Amino acid sequence: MDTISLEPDVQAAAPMRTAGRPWYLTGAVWQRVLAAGSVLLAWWLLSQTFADGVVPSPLVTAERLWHIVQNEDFFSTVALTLGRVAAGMVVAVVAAVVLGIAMGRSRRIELFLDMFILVGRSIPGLVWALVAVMVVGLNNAAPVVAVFLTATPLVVLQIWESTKALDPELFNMAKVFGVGPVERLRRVLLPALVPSIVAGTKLGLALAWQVVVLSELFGLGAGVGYEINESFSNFDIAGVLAWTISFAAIMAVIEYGVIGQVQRYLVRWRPKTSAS
Amino acid sequence: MSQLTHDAKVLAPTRSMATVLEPLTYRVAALVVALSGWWLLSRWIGTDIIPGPLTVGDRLVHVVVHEDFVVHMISTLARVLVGLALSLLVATFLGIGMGLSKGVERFFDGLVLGGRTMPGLAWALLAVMVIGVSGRAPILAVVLAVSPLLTLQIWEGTKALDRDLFQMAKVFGAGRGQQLREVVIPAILPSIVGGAKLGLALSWKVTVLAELFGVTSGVGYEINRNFQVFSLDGVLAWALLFALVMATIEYGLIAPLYSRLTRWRRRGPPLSITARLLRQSAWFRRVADTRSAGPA
Repeated sequence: MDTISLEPDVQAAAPMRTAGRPWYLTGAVWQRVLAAGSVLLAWWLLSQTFADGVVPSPLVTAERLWHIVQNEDFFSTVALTLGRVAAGMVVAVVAAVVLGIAMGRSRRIELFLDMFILVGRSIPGLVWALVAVMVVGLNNAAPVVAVFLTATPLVVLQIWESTKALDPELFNMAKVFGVGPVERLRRVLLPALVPSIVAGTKLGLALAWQVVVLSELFGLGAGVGYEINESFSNFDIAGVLAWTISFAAIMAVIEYGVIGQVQRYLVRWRPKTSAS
Repeated sequence: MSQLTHDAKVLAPTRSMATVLEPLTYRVAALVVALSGWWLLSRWIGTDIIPGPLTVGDRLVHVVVHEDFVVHMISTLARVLVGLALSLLVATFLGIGMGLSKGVERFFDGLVLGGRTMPGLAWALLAVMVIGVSGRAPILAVVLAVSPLLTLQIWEGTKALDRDLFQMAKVFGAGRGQQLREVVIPAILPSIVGGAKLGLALSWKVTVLAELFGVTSGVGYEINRNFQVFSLDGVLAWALLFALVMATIEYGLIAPLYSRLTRWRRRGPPLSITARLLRQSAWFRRVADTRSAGPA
């Protein structure tokens, strides 16, 4: 089987090599500290060139962030939004596994559905968020529907393609050895698909949280998107930045830290591919 | 894009009537089922909540004929293209620099990877706040959101270059400028166009988002206006029309270009049906011949 696209973060991590010295003494680290420092400096300079408050300085934003974390129910707000993301992703991934396997195994189902998957993928999450809010109304189901509509096509695409890329000999062998269809699904198909399911989930998650934030922004009464909208309408730019950056950071930790680890753990049985 | 690849494979071996007609039957059946499902759903839930396909179809025509679709489409498209062009410029310099020099790479890699993690939504809000209500806000948003993605592509493409090529160029006495022009650029052209393909999909989404928050023209503005007056058929009509135009550009223009540019390294089936048709044209054959006959 070809290299399934579980590689992106492996490739992304590849450029960071360290020499024999401890990591905090290598030139690589200092150059990155320098890079981060110059971004902060540029940000600060930008904030100084504009009139008061148009671009808040890094310090002001950090203060605002600290204030938010301490005073404004930060954790319950984040938990609410994360719950919506998680609920939507569970629905989307379950649907995508079923549809993706069906499309990969049966040519008829594939011909019937592929159009919708591709059209669905090219419609932006923004539109789905608006449609979900308008059709479902301002309740908890709206973000879940929006995530389902946005993320499912993307995850289906991953699973569908890797189902098609599976070696058919595996199934023939399982058949020869008298393995029934249910067992074949459980012992042959699903284990082989795990990498692409996780990779698809990761891709879908990056979209999903934006869609949830957008649908909160368009009218739900609470959540990170609601807070961003509140700050935006009060011209509280530091607030917008603080909420956006903190939530993006949390999602990045989940994406690279948690799911990346799960990904590595689940594919540990595979021999290393030539990609690294 | 992958569906087209896949289609080409399915269609390629035999070109009998049945192999063409069968997928077509399924496509038509799928469309009929989807439309009637939509119609039933709107009937069942209420046409005021979910407008039926006919209502949206009417609105679609109305948008094109009476609501300045072309004007808004052009202003959005101009923002997308300007943003994408600027991002390509930034990414080509940065990507080649990062691929060739370790120092440049270490300085920027964190920024590129971090920038790619930041969502389009964040960049759109940021651009609108910094620039204000102006047509330049979406352009800035596109540059901020798309440059990291493109840089990553070009950086990886440059790193994957065969180092022996440089050695050979050096042996034959090529200077740095000539090496760049004749070794690096042609070899990374596929990753530039491949990046542009990914970048286009992202940049029109970011543009629409930025227009929604801070511009008074463009498709994003129209979508938001329809949302504010709770006209779902308007939102759907604008979104569908826009997606249609962007899909045409992606599959009709960029995908064939990509497959043409990468043909020399892959002698398999071309990427898309359009590319296959293009290959049969006399013009394309002439171009291909001169290319293969010229200095390889």
